[in-house]
Amino acid sequence: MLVSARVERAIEAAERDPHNAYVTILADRARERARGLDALPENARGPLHGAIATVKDNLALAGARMTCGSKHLERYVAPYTATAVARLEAAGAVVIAKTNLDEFGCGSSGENSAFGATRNPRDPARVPGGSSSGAAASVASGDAEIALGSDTGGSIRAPAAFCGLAALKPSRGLVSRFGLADMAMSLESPAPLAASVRDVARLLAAIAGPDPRDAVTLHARVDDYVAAVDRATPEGLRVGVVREFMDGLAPDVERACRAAIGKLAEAGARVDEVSVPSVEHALATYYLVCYGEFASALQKLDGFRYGTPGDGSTAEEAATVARASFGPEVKRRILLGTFVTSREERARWFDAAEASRARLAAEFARALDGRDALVGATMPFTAFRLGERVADPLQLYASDVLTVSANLAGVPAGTVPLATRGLPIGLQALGARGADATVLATMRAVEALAGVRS
Amino acid sequence: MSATTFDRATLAHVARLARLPLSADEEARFSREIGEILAAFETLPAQARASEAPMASALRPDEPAPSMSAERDAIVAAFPRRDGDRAKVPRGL
Repeated sequence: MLVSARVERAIEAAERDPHNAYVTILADRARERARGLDALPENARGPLHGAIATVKDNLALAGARMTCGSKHLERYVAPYTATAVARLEAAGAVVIAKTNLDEFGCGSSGENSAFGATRNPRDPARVPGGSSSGAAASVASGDAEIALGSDTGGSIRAPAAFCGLAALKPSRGLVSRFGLADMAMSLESPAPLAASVRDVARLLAAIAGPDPRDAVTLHARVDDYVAAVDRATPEGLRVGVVREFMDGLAPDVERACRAAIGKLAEAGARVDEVSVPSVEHALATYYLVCYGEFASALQKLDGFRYGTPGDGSTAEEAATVARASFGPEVKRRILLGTFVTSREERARWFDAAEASRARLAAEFARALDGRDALVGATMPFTAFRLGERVADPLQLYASDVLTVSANLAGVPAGTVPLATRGLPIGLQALGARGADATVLATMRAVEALAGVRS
Repeated sequence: MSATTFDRATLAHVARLARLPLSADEEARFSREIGEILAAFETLPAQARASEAPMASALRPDEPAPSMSAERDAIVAAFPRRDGDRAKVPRGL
C-alpha cells in the first residue's frame, strides 16, 4: 500500500484521539512527507520507509509547536529539529503527531499534562504510565507503529510496561539529546518504543550514534541492533536476577516475571540471583539529582526567550509572573531543586545523592561482571486507575523504584511485554553501558519465550 | 535544619530564589508536602562530595562549522517580546 494511504488512515485515527494521546497533529506536514516518500525510487528508500511515527512533545521539530506538556509553552514553535527526530525522518518514517506527556517529563502516570491526562488504550479507566504517555498510547491504540519518547527515570519503560509494549532506555551517550527539552540532563535520553523488540531495535538503529551537537555522544559505540535481535537466543545467555527488583511486587507482577525467567532458564540461559544493595537508596538518590538538575534547567524559562511573556516593572518581577503558569508538580520540583542545591543545604542533599549515585553505578558494574544482562520487574504493579495516586506525590514517586537505577548508572534498560491474561506486565532487562545490543537480544529472547508477540 | 521543619519562611525564601509566585493554598500544600518528601529522602548515607564519579572528557575536532546561524531567524522569531531582532526585557534593577 502507498505510504500516503497509510498516513491518511493514521491521521484520521489520530484526529479522533479517544485517549488524549496527542498535543499537535501534523496532518498537512505528514501528507506532504508521504507524497515525497511515495515518489522515491525503491533503491532510495530508508530502513524505516513509510513507518508511521509519533514524537514526544519535548523533542523539537522545526516549524511545529512544542509545548513540553506545559501551558507555559502553549504557543512556542520550535526553531530547529532535534537530532533524533531528524534521523528518524531521514530513515523514512513519517511523523504524524507530537504526543502528550507529563509537564516537562515531571510524572510517572501521564496525568500531569497541562493538556489533560492521557488514557491507557488497554483500559481507558487507567493511566498509561508516564511521562511518555502519549507515545505509548499512540502505539497501543494502533495509530502509530513506532514512537520516539524519552526516559529520565523510567519515562519510556513505565508507559511501555503499563500499555503492553516494548521500549529501551539507551545507554547514556548513545542517542543525541540535541533538541530534547530534557528534565534532568545527566539522566535523560531520547528513547524508542514499539509493539515488538525488533521494531524498537530498528528505531534505535536509526537514531543512535555520535552527534557533534551533543558531546556526550562523541565516543558512542554503535552496533547492529537489528541483527542482534534477529540472532537472539536464550542458550548460553548469562542472566542475573536482581533480588531488589523482585522485592515487594504485586503478586501478579511477581508471578509473570518469575515464570518468564523460569522459561529463560529452561531454554538454556544460565540464570542466577544477584544483589545490588544500593537500589534501596535509588529512589531518594534519583529524585534529589533530578530536582537539582530540573530547577537549573528551568531557569531558562524566564519569559524572555521562550513561551509566555511576563509583565512587570523589573526583569525579576516579569520572570516571576511568567513562571506562574507552571503546574503543581513542576513547581514542587523546582522548589525542591532550588532548596537541595542551595549553598547551605547542598552537601546534605545534592552532594550526598551524587555520592550515592556513584556507589550505585559501581555496584551495577560489579553485578554485570561475568553476566550479559540483569533482569527484574519493570514496574512494581500494573496500571492504576486515573486519579488514584495524584493526591500524594510520594505515592506516585514509588512507581519509579525499579526504573531509576538504570538512569543513575547510565546503563541501557529495556522492557518487554509478557503474555498475561490481565493487565499488561513488563520484564526489565539491563546491561553494561554500551551493551544496548545485548539488552535488546535478551529482550528478544524473553519475547520469543514468554512475550505477547512470541 | 531538620527536614520536617520545612516551614513557611523557608518556603517563601526558596520560592523567591526560584522566582515562583505561590498562592496561599500552594504555600500551605507545598510546605507540608516538601517536608514529607525530604523526610522520606533523608535516608541517604551522609558523605562528602562524590569522589568516585567517573569523569571523562570528550572533545570534538575544533573545526569551524555552521553553528545555529541557519536557525537564527526562527530563534529570534520565538522571543515572546521583540524590538526588531532583539529580545525585549524590563530593566534588571
